[in-house]
Formats: sequence, structure tokens, C-alpha cells
Amino acid sequence: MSKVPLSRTGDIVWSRTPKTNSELFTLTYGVLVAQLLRDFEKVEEVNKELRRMGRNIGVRLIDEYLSKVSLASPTTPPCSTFHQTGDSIAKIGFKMFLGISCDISYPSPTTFVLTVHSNPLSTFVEIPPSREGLSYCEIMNGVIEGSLGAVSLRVESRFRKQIEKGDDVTTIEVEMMERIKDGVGEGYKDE
Amino acid sequence: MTFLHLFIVNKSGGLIYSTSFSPSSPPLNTNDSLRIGSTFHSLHAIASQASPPPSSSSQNYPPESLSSSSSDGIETIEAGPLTLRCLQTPTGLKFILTASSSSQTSMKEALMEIYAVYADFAMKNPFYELEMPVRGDKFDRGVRQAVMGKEGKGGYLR
Repeated sequence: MSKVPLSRTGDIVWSRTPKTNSELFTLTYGVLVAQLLRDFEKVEEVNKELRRMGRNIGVRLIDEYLSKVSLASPTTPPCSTFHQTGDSIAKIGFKMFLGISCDISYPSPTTFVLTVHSNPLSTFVEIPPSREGLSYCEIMNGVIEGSLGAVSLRVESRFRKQIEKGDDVTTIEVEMMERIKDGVGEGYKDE
Repeated sequence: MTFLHLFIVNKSGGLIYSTSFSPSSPPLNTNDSLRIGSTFHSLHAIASQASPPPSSSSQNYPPESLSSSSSDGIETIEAGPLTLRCLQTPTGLKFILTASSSSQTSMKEALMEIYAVYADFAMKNPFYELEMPVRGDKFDRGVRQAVMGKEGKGGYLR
């Protein structure tokens, strides 16, 4: 483990990140979800689309994370366990991209649960009964899956609780499915 | 110290960017650069296959999956007056910088800054397609600033 605590690294990266007005951010995301609801009509389709968008964001975001963290804290070693990966997401990832840090618990070696106390994406949101099935922040699951997918970890991320559905916190359960094998190594072995 | 060339190779071995920094950089045409990029990619893959597996005692990830660990493979090559340094990211990208009589530390720092430039002006550019060649003035400028910073003339990051 590094000598610098992860939360300290998170603070350093956050302090170097350009900021935007949080309302602009929240409202922009709201407009996006509202437009998707208008375009797709079915909430299941909207959830799927949000997750897909999140994945596309995640595969690009991960390079930002890796480069900025290694500049802020060059001594931080790569994660060697899935729980360390979770710690890094909770203490650095959420801090540098959303300005919040979240709590983490580990129900099993291949699972971690992130607890978010206030979610900047859904500050003003109440889901109407007619849109009950909508997973408003589904994009976050996509980002987690996409970014870890880019570092060859196939994970499944899902909500257990959601503030905008009346829960007191938002919890995200992330389960590791497999390590994606490196294609190059396989080819050499065959020859 | 003089930085000579930068090559960026994607995870499947394709060259996505190359540039030269100094009038004393030996001229390389596009084909030369492509060849250098893919040859280095292959050598790097062989080196990481030939290196001993990491001690698995503290590893929770299955050991066979660590073949692509970013600490594997070729980090530096010393070839007389030429020094080559490679930064492999956990996403499988390789940044390869060559210099004449340069300190390893400043090359490492330059590579890390170039990675940040890549994250900013390639990955965050919505019109950049993943795994494709990087083209763009902002990216070019960022790379030059990062390299000049290490030669003591300004820099990309404040």
C-alpha cells in the first residue's frame, strides 16, 4: 500500500480539476434523462441507453483517472486486490469526478458496495409514480462497468438503494465477474 | 538533453501517434514509425511473457490474469547515445519516448504528462474515435509543452 492515504490523493486531484457549477451539471443531466424519456418512451429502454452512455464515458474516463492520479501521487502502486480497486473508486474516483467521497463495504472478496450520502446527479429529482421503473442515475453503473472494463476487469454494477426513490442513501453494488484475458498472450502460446 | 521522438501505440500494436521534437532527430517517414511502433509492441509482449510471474502471495486477482500488468515488459532501452523509455498504461496503451543523453526521471515525468495530455485532448474530445490515430492541434501543442517543460521551458501543467 502507498504511504499517502487514498483520500489525500483524491483531495489533491480534486483541487487540480477544473470545476463547474453544480446546478448546471445537475440540470444538464436532468435534461438528458428527460429527453431520453421523450425519445424512447419505455423506461427500460431509457435505463439501457443510460447504461450504454455510461460505458462509453467510462472507457474514456479511465485514462483521465490513471494519468491524473499517477501525476498527483506517483508512488501509488497499482491495485492488487478487488477491494483496493473499490477503495480507489470510492476515495479518489468519486472525489475527482463528482466532488464527493463515499463509504465502502466488502460483503465478499469479489464484491464491494459503495454508499453515497448525497448524489449530485439527483439533487432536485423525485421520480413520479408513472416512471417508477426509471433508474435515474443508471449512467453511474455504466461508467463503473466501462472504466473497469478498460483495465480488463469485467464487473457488474447495480443499485441496491436510490435516494431519488425514497431511500436514505444510494448504494451501488459492484461484483467482479472475471479478468478479461490479454489477447496477445494467447496467440503466442498457440504457435 | 534532447528529446527526439514520441510514439504512441494502442493496445493492439497499431501506431496512433508519432512526432519528432528536435532538428537533430533522425528523420523517420510514416512507414518507419509504423514499423518501430509495432516492432516495439511485439518485443514488449515477448519480454512480459518471459519475465517471472509476480509473487502471488498478496494477490487477490488470479495470478494468470496479471500478464498485462503495467510493470511488465520493457521499461527502458539504453543504446549508446540513445535512451528509450516506455510507459505502459493499465489500459494497454504505450507511450514511447526517445532522447539523447537524458535523465530517466525527466523522461518518466514527461511521459506521465503526455499521458495527461492524451487523456485531455484525445479521450475527452468527443470526435476522437478510440484506438484510431490521434490528430489535433491542441494535442500537438500539449505534447510539445509537456516536453518543453522537462527541458526547462514552461510546461503543460501549471
